[in-house]
Parts: sequence; C-alpha cells; structure tokens
Amino acid sequence: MRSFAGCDPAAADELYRRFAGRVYGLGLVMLGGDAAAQDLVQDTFVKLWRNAERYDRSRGKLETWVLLMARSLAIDAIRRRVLDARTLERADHPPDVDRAPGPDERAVTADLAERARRAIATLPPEQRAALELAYLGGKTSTEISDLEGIPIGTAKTRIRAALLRLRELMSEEVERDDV
Amino acid sequence: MTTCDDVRPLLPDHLLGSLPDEEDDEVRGHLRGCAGCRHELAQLDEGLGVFGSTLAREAPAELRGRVREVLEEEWAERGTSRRRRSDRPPWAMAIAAAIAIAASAAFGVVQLGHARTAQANADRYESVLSVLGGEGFRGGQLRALGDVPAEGSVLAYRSSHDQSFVLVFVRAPGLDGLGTMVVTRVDGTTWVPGQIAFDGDGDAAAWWVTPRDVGSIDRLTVRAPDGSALASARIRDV
Repeated sequence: MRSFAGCDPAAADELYRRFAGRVYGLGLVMLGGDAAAQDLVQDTFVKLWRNAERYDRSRGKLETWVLLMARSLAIDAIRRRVLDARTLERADHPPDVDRAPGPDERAVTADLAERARRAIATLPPEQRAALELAYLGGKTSTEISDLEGIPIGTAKTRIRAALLRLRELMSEEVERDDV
Repeated sequence: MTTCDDVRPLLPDHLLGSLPDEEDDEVRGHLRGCAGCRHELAQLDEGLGVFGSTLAREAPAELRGRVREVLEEEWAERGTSRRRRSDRPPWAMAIAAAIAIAASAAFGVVQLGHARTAQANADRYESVLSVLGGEGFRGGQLRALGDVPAEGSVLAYRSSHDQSFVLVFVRAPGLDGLGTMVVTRVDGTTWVPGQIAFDGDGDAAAWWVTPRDVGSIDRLTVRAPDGSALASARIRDV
C-alpha cells in the first residue's frame, strides 16, 4: 500500500490483480449490472489511492479494508436510485458479455471462490440471509431485526455465527488438502 | 459496557463499520485491552474474507486499462506533491527537522509557558511542517477526566521518514509541577513519551519528535503531578 500511495504503477497493477475481480463481482451483485460494476471498480481504486496512506495494518486485513470501501461506495450508489432485490443466486448467472478464459493464476482464485460458495451453501438459511443482508444489503443488525422480524440479539448472533462458521469451514478445507 | 459478553455480539457490526460512533468507540476501547476479543475479531475478519471471495468474477479485460488511465490522471493532478515528499533524501529531512526544532524553540513551545500563547502559535507551524513532508495531521481535543477543569489539544504530524512530531497543550488552572503523558495505541499497548510541566497558572506545553508511527496513536492521556488522570484526547486524522 505504501508503494501504491507513492504512485507506483507496479503496485497498482498488483492491487488490481488481487481485488478487481472481487470488487467487480460485488458490484454485479449489489448494483445489478456490468456498467455499474465497472464504475464501482474504478471508483474504488481511486478512493483506495486517495486513502492509501490511511491504511493501518493493525486494524485488519487489507482485503477487508478494500472490500468494505467498495461496499460503502456501492451502498451510496444504491441509495441514489431504486434498487431491485438482488441475491447471491442471481450473481451466479454470468453477465451477458463474452469473457475470454482468464490466465492460469486466476484458476487459483476461481478455486477459492468455488470452495467459499460450497461453504456458504452449508450455512443454515437464516444465517446466510442475515450475512447477505448485512454485507450485500448494507443493513445494520437493527434493520435486519426489523426486516426478518427477529430480536436484534438474534440478528447479531446469526451474523457472527455465519462468519465464524465460514472461517471454520474454509480451515477444514485447507486441512483436507494438506492431508 | 466493559465485558466480552457485551462486546462480542457487536464485533460483526464493528467490522462492517455499521455501529454508531459512540458504540464503536466503546468496542475499540474494549479491544485495546482484550486479546480474546481481538482474536475473535480476526476470526470474523477471515470469515468475511471467505464471504467476499465468493463474489469474485473476472472483470472485463478493458477495465484494467480504464482504471490505470484514471489512476494516472489522479497521480498527475494530486500525486506530484506526494511523490516529491517521498523522494526527498533523508539528509534533507534531518535539516528540515532541525529547522522545525529551532522554530519550535523560537515559538516558545519547548519552554514552559502559557499554553494559550503556544496554542495560537501552533497555526504558524503549518509552513514549517510543510517542509518536512509526511502523511498529514492528526489531532484531538483534551477533555477533563476528573474534577479539575482541564482542557487542551494534541496535534500530531505524521512523517513518512521516521520524524513525526507531537504537540500537546494543556490548561488546568492552579496546577503546578510535573505531569505525565501516556500514549495508548490502537492495539492497546501504551508508552510514556515523557513529562509535561505545569507552571503556577496551570498552563503546560510539550512536544517530541519520534520515529514511532503516530498513525497508530489512538488516545493521549495527561496525568496530573499527583498521578491522577487529568485529561484525555481521542486522536483522529484531521
């Protein structure tokens, strides 16, 4: 990030390689279109550079910082227009633009994404719903509590349980691979 | 709110940035002193990363060029001064620091003096500090913690070359003697940069140059000569 803050093109390329796909995918899910998702990627990288010197490793992973920045921009975009309900299932249908096969290194990312999707599929539906509302819908626990008609403590517990379960499941996957 | 049972249900919202400021401050305060909750936060962070990874899609090939062009425009407009600061050689930084120290002495900050006068002079530091280069200002208002009506401010300049400054101005009417400053970092660790001297009117000012990262400072607390907590400031980016 320090190199990126110093306008290093190689650092910018590396950050793009690591995060553009996820931000683009986030945009497809939250904003519902290729053009809006591309705008989100552009806006996120500009904001990333403008705030690069503020990144503090002690506060969390770079990946989380970048994706939450993108999510915040997406939520702002949503608030500026009417948003149809989008779910993660809809994002599984590829956009109607041809994509050339990615380079070999993207196979690793695709494999990780597939593993993560498998992990999410095993979550109890109520936990998955709470997590999607919180992460993709930008809802607070209070708003989720109102939407789902559940106590606010239950909403918080579901999100927390979902995140811990995902981490646990992915750790198990890694252990199986190591055997 | 002080217990882990209170804080842990809030950690996901804290991670997602959706807590109200006051609640978020309390969570941060708890995390500073609780390794267990920090560990859980790290686990939640990993879980969030897993969820985020499911969203990955291959972006259109032309998007890379578009983002690169936009960044280059941004760098051309705003990046020159940032690059200039990072390219400055270390010896120039040392000279600039020496100039700033001499200027500080000239402004009377080093001397025991009236905090109000020194605080007014703080505005004049901007032209001096701009010579150093760095990553920006951080600061906060000191607010009284006890019965003594203390007030003041903290100003930190975040250098990119291990020569950051911190200025502290305090007024606590009637206080006299040597107090202590305690810095608390975001990870909960603390360090004592030194003492701060109150004159007979209760004014005090202190400053120090440090190679430490002032960006990690979360709070600065001033203790009175008798050891009691006098005032505290939350340090934020300006």
